[in-house]
Amino acid sequence: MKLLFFHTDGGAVLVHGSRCEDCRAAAFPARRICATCASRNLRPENLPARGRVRATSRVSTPPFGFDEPITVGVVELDSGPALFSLFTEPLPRGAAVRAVPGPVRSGTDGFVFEPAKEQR
Amino acid sequence: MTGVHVAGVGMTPFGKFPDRGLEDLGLEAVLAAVDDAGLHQREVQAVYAGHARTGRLLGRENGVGQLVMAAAGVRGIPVTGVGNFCASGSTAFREAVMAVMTGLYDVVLALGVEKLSVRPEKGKPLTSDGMELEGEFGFTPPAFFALVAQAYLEKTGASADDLAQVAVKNRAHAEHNPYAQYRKPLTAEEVLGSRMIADPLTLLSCCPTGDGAAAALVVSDRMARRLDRKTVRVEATSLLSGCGDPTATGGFEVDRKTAHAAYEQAGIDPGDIDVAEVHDAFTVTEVIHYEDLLLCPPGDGVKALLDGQTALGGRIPVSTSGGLMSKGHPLGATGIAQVHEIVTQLRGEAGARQVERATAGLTHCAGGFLDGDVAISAVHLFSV
Repeated sequence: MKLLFFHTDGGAVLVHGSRCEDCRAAAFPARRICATCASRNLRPENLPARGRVRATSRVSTPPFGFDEPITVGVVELDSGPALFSLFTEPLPRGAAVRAVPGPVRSGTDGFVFEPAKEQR
Repeated sequence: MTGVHVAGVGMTPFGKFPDRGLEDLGLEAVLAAVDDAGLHQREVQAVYAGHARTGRLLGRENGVGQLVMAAAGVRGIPVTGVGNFCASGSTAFREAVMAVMTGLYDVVLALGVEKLSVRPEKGKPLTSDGMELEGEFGFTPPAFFALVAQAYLEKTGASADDLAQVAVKNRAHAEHNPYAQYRKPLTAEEVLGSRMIADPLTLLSCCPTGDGAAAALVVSDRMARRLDRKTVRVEATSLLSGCGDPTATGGFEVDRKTAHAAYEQAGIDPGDIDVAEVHDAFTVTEVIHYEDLLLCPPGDGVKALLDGQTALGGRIPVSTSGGLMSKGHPLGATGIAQVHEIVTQLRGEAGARQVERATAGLTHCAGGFLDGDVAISAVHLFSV
């Protein structure tokens, strides 16, 4: 099983989002109507899964589909959208992160955010 | 338009009742509410029934209201099911209020009923509808509110120790409420030392689930005049869909907007509220709600808590019933149980947990998730 809304390109994870042709706001998941300006003029865009940590939480009592404690959080992608995701470890607000391929619920092939090593 | 009044309330105790069905729980609440009002159940002209998980857990996605009313010997009236996440009961109450307000009916019953103890995933957090994408990444309600807590603690400089005082306070209130599921006093050490769920929220920082039912009988001016019972006026009903970004802001914009609309509708100043039941599903949310519902100045939520302003005997007691933290949270029943508590307080019938000279009260219930925010906020205002 693999999540259907991303692919990898040279090790980098790209999520399948959209961009508004009128106000330029990016969105993930992809939208038909812009959440910012309500324009109908949107096109699909693959968004690099890199950004900064908004908050993370160590979840000691995870839901079904996870055997071990997990770290979840929200990342603000450099392209704009905020995304609820898994993280490799708890990280402070503002930490630079990037997604790498990794298992999500029930071992499905997905992605997990880890600290971004290189300076951006 | 007629004024709208609550003429009677009734509820079951909240708890885990493996031997009781939806019909049995709902019937007890309905009969208690009509008896309280001094009416007969066959005088009820319409019913709105809130329930959120009866489909998934009990194979009754629809028809809970009809089931309960038929058990009460009432058929051939309009009965409508209302699903709106944790705010299903609040939304059923709102529908009842609007049905009376329009002049269509004089006596409308709002019912909320839920039975969560049958869920298979005991010991795991309750999930929420519609979170399939986020669920792939481990989303649960406590995980989401843990992230909101991180944002709130960072914004205010408050600590997890501070938040634990919500659970301690609400449990102290619950000691005096026979309907509450947990009534034994708690210490902050017990709250902080309980099993970690999602940092910084421990088990006792999260509300328990449960089974239960609650009902409120909503009547017009004309009917209120006819009754012997002391009635409570519904001053405002306000409900909005989510519109904020709480993991970014550490607050709930939708609650601020919903409350603002309610205060405007009622012409009541937030400072005039004497008692409130808020959606304390987690310790942190109660404190944030003080601020968003304007029960204290912005940024002063923890101060209001630690100064005892929101405890019984304080300036604005909150969750005098014990809140969701001590009563438990049988989703569909919760919002109407909040109405039950405020009506009991405003009638001066709350016994050892009575707020002295309470003349205006507020209920607030949130629910669900959508696009990084809660899906719903519901606020009702009451007065005598």
